[in-house]
This record gives sequence, C-alpha cells and structure tokens, in this order.
Amino acid sequence: MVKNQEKKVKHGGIYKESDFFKFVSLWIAGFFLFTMIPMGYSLYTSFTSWDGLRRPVWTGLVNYEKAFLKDPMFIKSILITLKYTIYAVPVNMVIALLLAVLLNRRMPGRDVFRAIFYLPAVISGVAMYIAWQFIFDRASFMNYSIAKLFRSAPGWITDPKWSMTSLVLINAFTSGSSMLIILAALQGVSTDYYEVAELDGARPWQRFLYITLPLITPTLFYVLIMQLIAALQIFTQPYILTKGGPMNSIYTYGLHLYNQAFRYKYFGYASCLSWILFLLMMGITIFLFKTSKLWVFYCEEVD
Amino acid sequence: MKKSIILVCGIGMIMAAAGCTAGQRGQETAGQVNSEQQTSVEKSEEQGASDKEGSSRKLTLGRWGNESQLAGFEQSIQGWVDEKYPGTKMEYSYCDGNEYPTKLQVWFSSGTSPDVIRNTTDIMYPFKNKGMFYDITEFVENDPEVSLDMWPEGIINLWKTEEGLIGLPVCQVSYCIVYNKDIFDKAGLPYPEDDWTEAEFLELCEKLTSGEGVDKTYGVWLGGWVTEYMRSLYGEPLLYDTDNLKMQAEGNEKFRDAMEMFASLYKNGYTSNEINQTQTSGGFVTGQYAMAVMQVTGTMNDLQTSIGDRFDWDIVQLPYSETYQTTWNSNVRINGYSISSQCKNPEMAYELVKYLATNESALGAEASAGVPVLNSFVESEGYLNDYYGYDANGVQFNKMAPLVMEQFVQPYEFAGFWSEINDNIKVVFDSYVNGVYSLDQAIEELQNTGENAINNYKVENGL
Repeated sequence: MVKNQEKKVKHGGIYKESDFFKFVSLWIAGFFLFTMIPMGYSLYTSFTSWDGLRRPVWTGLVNYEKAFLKDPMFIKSILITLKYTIYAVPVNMVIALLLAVLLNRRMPGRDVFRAIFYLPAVISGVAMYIAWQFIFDRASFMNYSIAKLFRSAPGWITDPKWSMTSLVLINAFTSGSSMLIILAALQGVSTDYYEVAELDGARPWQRFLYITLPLITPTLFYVLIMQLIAALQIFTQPYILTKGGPMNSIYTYGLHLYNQAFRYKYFGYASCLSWILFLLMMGITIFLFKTSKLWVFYCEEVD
Repeated sequence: MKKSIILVCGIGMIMAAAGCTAGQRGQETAGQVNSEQQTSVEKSEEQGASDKEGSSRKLTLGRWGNESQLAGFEQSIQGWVDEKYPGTKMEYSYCDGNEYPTKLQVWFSSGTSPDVIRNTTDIMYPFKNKGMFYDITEFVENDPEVSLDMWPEGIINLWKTEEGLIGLPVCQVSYCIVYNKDIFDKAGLPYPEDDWTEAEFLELCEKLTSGEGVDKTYGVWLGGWVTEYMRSLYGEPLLYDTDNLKMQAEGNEKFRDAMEMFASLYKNGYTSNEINQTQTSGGFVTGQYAMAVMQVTGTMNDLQTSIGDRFDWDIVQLPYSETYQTTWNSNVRINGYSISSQCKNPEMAYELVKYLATNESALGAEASAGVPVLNSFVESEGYLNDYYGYDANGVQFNKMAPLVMEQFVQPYEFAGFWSEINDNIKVVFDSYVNGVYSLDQAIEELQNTGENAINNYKVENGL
C-alpha cells in the first residue's frame, strides 16, 4: 500500500522514487563540483596566508583576528553596506509596490508601461552603470539643467554627501524586477474579497491596507529577502561609479573583499571576509524568517 | 538507485579532485620552470631548426586592448611570423587595461598564461621573483643583434629582478603638460615654454580660470591619479621607498609642499572638484581646461581623435621648482614584453619579444601607447616627424618634451599591497581638500595607514 502511494501515475507510465533521484543526480554533481567544493576550499583558505600564486600556508585564526581587530576598513565597509541596505531596500520595495499597484489597474498603455519599468532589469548592469556615470557627470544634460534652475548642481558622485544618494537612486531605477513579482502576486488576489469589502463600505485605501497588503505579504517577504541579499553583496555599482570614493563614502564590503583579493593579493584574507559576509547574511535571513511569523500571512494557516 | 547517485557524485568528486591536482601541478610547474630553464633553452634550441622548416606550432600573446584597436599590431606580428616561422599560428588574448593586473593573476594562478605577456613595470611587483617570468638573460647574451645598451640604462634596469632579466622594454609613459592654445589666445597670455617655473604655472592657473558653474573655464585639469604626481614631485625622498619597504610621509618637506600645492589648485577652484577620475566628460578634451597634467604617448592619437579640430593644443615640459631646484618629477611606467615561465617554446617567444622591442615597424605600432624607448628609434627623423601614427596630418606637437622629461621620472608601483597605500593616499588627499583633515593630520594618517599596509605585507610574506 505504502509502496503504491510512492508511485505516481502520469500519461499511463509509472515514475518511481528512483527516477527523481536519477534526474536530480546531475544537479547534485554540479552542485558539489561548482558550489560545495569551491566553498569548502574557500573555507580552508580563509585560515591561510595565500597570494593566489603559491600554495596557501596555514595560519589558523590570524585572518579573522585581522578582520575584527586590525582592519579599520572592515568595520567601516560593513557600516557603509548596512547604511546602503537600510536606504536602498525599502526605497526599492516601496517604488516596486507603488508601480505594481498602479500597473495592476485597467488603464490605457498599461502593458507598455510594464515593459518600460521592467526594461532596466533586462539591460546589462555594467552598461547601465556606465550610463549613470555619464548622467551624473558635472557636464551632463541633467546637471546642466539643474544648474540652470538652481544655480548649482550636486556633485552626484564627486561629493561624499551625495554619493550614497546616487547609489540608492540607481538601485531604485532597477525596481522593475521586484515590481513584476509583486504584480503577479496582486493578480493572484481573488476579486471576491474586494467585492465583499465594497459591499461592507470599505474605502480604497482600507481595501489596500486590510486585503491587498496582507495577501501579498508572502511575496513581499520573498522580495525583501532577495533585495536584502543583493544589497549586502553590492559591488558593481560602486566599482563602476567611483571605486568606492569619494573619501570612501561608498566603499562597500563587496569592494573591500574584491580589493583584498584581486588588487592587494591577500586571497586568504579575502576568503575570510567572504565567509564573514556569508554568516552575516545567513544571520539576517534567519532573523527575518523568525520575525516573518509576526507579519507574513499565509492563507493556508486560516481554518 | 542510491548506487547510481553515489556513482555520479563520486565521479564529480573525482573530477574536482583531478582538477585541483592539475591546478597544483600547474603552479608547481610555474615555479620549477626557471630552475629547469637551462634544459628548456637547450630543448628549444633543438626545436628551432624545425621551426624554420615551417613545422606547424602555436604561440600565444596576451595584452590589454581590444581586437579593433590592435588590428595593426596583429598585422605587424603576422608579417613577422610569415617571414620567420611560417605555418605558426598566433593566438591573442586581450582584456581591458584596468582589469589587466587581475587578468595576470588569473593566468598565473590557473597555469594558463600566454607565452608572451605584455608587462609593465608598475604592475609586475606581485608577480616578480615568484617564478612567473622567464629569465631571458641568456638569450640576450647569446644574441649578436641585441645589447642592453640599446635602451637607456635606467629603463632596462627596471626589467632586471632577482630572477634575472624578465623582459624587454618597448615604450614609456610619463607626464607632461598639455595646453589649450585657444584659451591662452583668448586670455592674451603667451604660451608656456619648456623652461617655465612652478610659480609661472600657478600664476597661469589663476589667470586662466574664469566663469562660473557649468560654463566655467578652469586653469588646469589633473588627469590620472593625483597621488602619481605628489609622490615624487620634487624627487627624493619619495613618499614611499619601494626598495626598503618604508613609508616617508612624516618629516618629508618635499611631499608636504607637493600635497599642499596640489590641494591649493582644488581649494582655489583652479581645477574642478572631480578628484580621482570620477569625471567622465573627458577633462581637457572638453575645451574647458587651459592646461592638463597628462600622460604622454608617442602619437597622442587618443587626444587628437577626441579633440579633432575643435581647438589648437601643444605640449610643454613639466615646470621647474625654484625652491627645490628641479623640474617636477613624474611617475613613469615602462611597457614591454615578458615570457611566461610556462611557455613551451621560449626561443620562439624570445624572438617575438625581440621583434616587438627592436623592430621599427612594431615600435611605430606601439607609439600610440607610449613614447618608444629604443635609443636608435626614438632619435630617428622618422619617429620625430611622425605625428599621428601612420597619418602625417596630425597636430605637430612638441615631441621633444616627453623625451627630455625622461630624465625626471620615478618608477611607480600600481599593484599588490602598494595599491592599498595608493588608495589610502587618494582618500586622505580628498579628505584634506574637503577640510576633514588638516595638512598635519593628513600626513600623519598617510604615515600610519601606509605603515600598517607595509606591516601587513611583511606578515603575510614572512618578512
């Protein structure tokens, strides 16, 4: 009986449990080859002194000690990355949510706008950031216009007071992918709820707050986790824009890690930094999963 | 079923282990080649005869640039291959200049470096004396066509390491001042001449700055990295001593004055506030800067192409400091070619390096990347009268200025832990310009962060 339950009948054929494992075994091999083994080697090298050319030399916890006690840029880059995360993730999510709600309505040209807002997610990141570099330039059309209107324009990527804003702005520009996911969630919300709410006299903002928002919290939670991980790993934007300057104002953890490995040739220390980042991200993700019970609403939990 | 999973995973693990072993073997080979070099040279000499008979073989070359930029370069090499080693297949590997040090790292650590490698003195530090390059001393000594006195002594010395001679130089890149003649004419000021002074330079910076906002004309553009100028502006003692691994910021009056002088250009508004190459609009080529401290090449074709006929320009030597009685020193990087220690046919690779470093046609193709350093070529009428690569219609700029400036240069380090110190210098300089640090605090910070970086390097390398 139990054996029969394990079998699934489809198109007249019978798939056994073993078929699943056969299909997945290639993936498992790839996962070991390209993820687990490099991760294991990286963990090993994090306890070594290694210039990337010669054999790593075991040094124990020296790299970890250096990170927490001797490297001032370690803490500074973590703080800058957290600051960026705190600004960029909510801004990105709020814009994505607003756009999704807006584009979920019936209106002329809706599909065109959906495509336009999603477009930045399709464009190559490096090309887009180089374009932003030109947009932020002192002599760009945007700055020229701002200067004509307000007598002076901000030094978007040359003034330490503005560089973080510029980074958050670029990230906000790429909210199209989050928008698309939230839009799909919005379209999954049954119209029955809205009809009943309307009959009860609920206003539009009440319908949004008490029906739409709770029902899409699982999707918002997913987007939050994805955005958070991307924000903590941020590298390409500050690297392309200013290499972390001016005055290290956008010197993120990703940049610090890259510099230690590929520019300063401390590959062992860079491995150590990457493991610290991994643990930090895991900690934050676990924390969010724990707190998700308080604000993420899953339909199946309601009897 | 479980057996099949275990089998697939097992094969994966074995493949991975095999890959790691191969990688390690590659590294060992890299380190061992130099010690076994004599044998290789002998073998390659034996192979040389069959090369000339046209046996089919392959030679790889890696450098920065891209295929479209280097079409003439490839054509020049193909001509040499067809004549000297017919049937040999040339393969090229290019990457962006900014990423080239990383590319070198990947090549060496993975054991996949090309036979002939474009090298430059400011990025070789992390790789030299580690068995990565082939010592070509013996080839040069046995070659009647090549002698080390064909190049300036100071330049060839930069290619000598503890491992021996690790390449031949092709061109050098140092600094001069480029000026916009139209802005000088408009201001009614005479053009600078090669014997001008630092005081005259500063006066011109002030007089040539005019206007406001986005329409402002600035006296000077500091292209490249400001740290490059400050580190060695008035000569020894430099900001850091690369030979003795020593930071020399504190108590260094020359560096202090250089830093103060350059910062004053920003503070007084004589140069735009975009520090460290964060401006994308091209600086001097926009026509908004009267002068620019700029790297000079043999043809200046990038500048010529960007400016076109929008304004007239010329080049002048760096000014003379009356206080320190020296012309400004600038950093120099010497570009050339090395042979990878993993090269299977070093004799043929050496012949290619020799061709690239001594043949006038090959050197002409490289003049757009720097000022050639081969004595006989650089002093020739052909070179001195060639102003735009192979097109004689280019701007006839002062070609002697960069040649004279060769006497006032200091070698520079751009890679490895030195880049950490350079990065700190940029940050500290920015902080000083923006008023976060006083001059004393800035110098103290530089000394401390520099010493930390040097100590880290010593600990990592067991020094």
